[in-house]
Amino acid sequence: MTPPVAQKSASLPLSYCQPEEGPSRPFPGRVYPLRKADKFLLFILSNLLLLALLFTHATLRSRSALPALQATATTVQYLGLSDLCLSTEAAHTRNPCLVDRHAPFQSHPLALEYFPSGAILPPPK
Amino acid sequence: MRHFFEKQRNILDFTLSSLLRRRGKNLALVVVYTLVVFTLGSVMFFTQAIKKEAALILKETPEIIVQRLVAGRHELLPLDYREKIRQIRGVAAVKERLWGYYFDPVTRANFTIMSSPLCERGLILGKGVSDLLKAKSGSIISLRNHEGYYKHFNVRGVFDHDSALVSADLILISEENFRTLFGIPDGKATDLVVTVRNKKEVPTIALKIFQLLPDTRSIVRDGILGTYEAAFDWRGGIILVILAGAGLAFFIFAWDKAAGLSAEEKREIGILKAIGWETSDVLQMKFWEGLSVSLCSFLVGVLLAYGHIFFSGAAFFKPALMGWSTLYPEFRLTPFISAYQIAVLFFLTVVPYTVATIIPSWRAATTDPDLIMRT
Repeated sequence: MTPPVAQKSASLPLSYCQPEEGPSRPFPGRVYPLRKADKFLLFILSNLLLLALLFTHATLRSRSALPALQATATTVQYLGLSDLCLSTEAAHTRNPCLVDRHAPFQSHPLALEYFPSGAILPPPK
Repeated sequence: MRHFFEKQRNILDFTLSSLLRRRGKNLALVVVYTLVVFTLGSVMFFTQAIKKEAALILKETPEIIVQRLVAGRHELLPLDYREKIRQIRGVAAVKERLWGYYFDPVTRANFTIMSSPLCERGLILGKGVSDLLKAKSGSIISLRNHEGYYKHFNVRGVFDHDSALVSADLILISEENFRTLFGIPDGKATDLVVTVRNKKEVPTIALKIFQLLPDTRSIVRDGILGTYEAAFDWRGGIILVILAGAGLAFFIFAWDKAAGLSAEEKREIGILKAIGWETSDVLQMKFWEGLSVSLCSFLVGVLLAYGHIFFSGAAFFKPALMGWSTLYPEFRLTPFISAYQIAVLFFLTVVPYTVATIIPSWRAATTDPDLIMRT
């Protein structure tokens, strides 16, 4: 005997379409495909899990990086360095703390700043 | 309670089916929304990581650096300034620094060359220089001096990769070789590093140095740290441009939603009301619609932003930082992130969009269904 076809309720969303009591899936042995809502919630949950993993990764990485950062700080102290090496194309972006404020504009009168890294590293305040 | 959850699942089912019916439009919306979150998240992670790393690394930077200015430009200073500064009460030590830039015509890269007692003979190279010149410990490299002749140096060592954020383009050399290379006479230095006994006196001593030597300027440690804090502030440079662009894109989304519903959406609401849905059911459906679009975009955008900054080395920001330079420091930023950052991003993106989705729906849902379906 073929089981009766379950009522398709995807387009009839509310509880009015569901029995107030009793199982919404009347045939326990039958394999039902996941509902869209369940798939969506699974997707959100897996993303949240990944986010939690990233937090764990960030915590572990920042803890394990501390000795190396401390060693770098010692190098900075020993050599008397003053800047991070974020860009090497122009003196005013290699050593933003040490240069004159007019350094980007001193190529010639009315010169404009033309180094791409100058857009990321503004002059010191 | 079970009834409530079952009802929400049903509404969510219907909402997702409704979103999938307009698959193309909603997919485009999710992609662009994800890109907005990705951009905002990338900027947030990048600036926070740089600021934190700068604060940790540069906490040991010199307390005061004294430079000499001539006609408004940085000039070599005479070493007798060192003795004059040493006389100031509260100064513990004064040390001269010899450093400068060297443009290598072969690789077209700029190096920072600095004298150090570590290299009485030979050179110590930064990791970036070593990789660019393919030189390692024991190699011989040639540098052109100020007269145009090449001088050969033995490489004695290479900085490790961990310190690349400060040493990638660095070449350490002996004082004698530095002076020979650049033609700097004895008795001159690039600048002076001043150590003070009491850190609270740093501003006072900087002022005293300026009064004693009016052609100098002092750069203090707090100023250096403040520079990086300000440079990666959201109000500065390209960061403001990126944020403004992303903010504007987001504003267009929210405005499009808040301005009203499409005729098809209004008809859908009218039909739902006509078959017995209540206003609260329609609002719940619209809430789930806004939340599903914005939450998906938010989570995927944040995950992609994290990967972009901390796994790919900020690949999209690299071209701007690299500019025209051929030597680019390959550094991996340490992921200093906090729940606060994620919460700010969430409230800036998900909440306004979800709210903007509900308001026009409420207006449509409270209107007579017959009227909605006829318009």
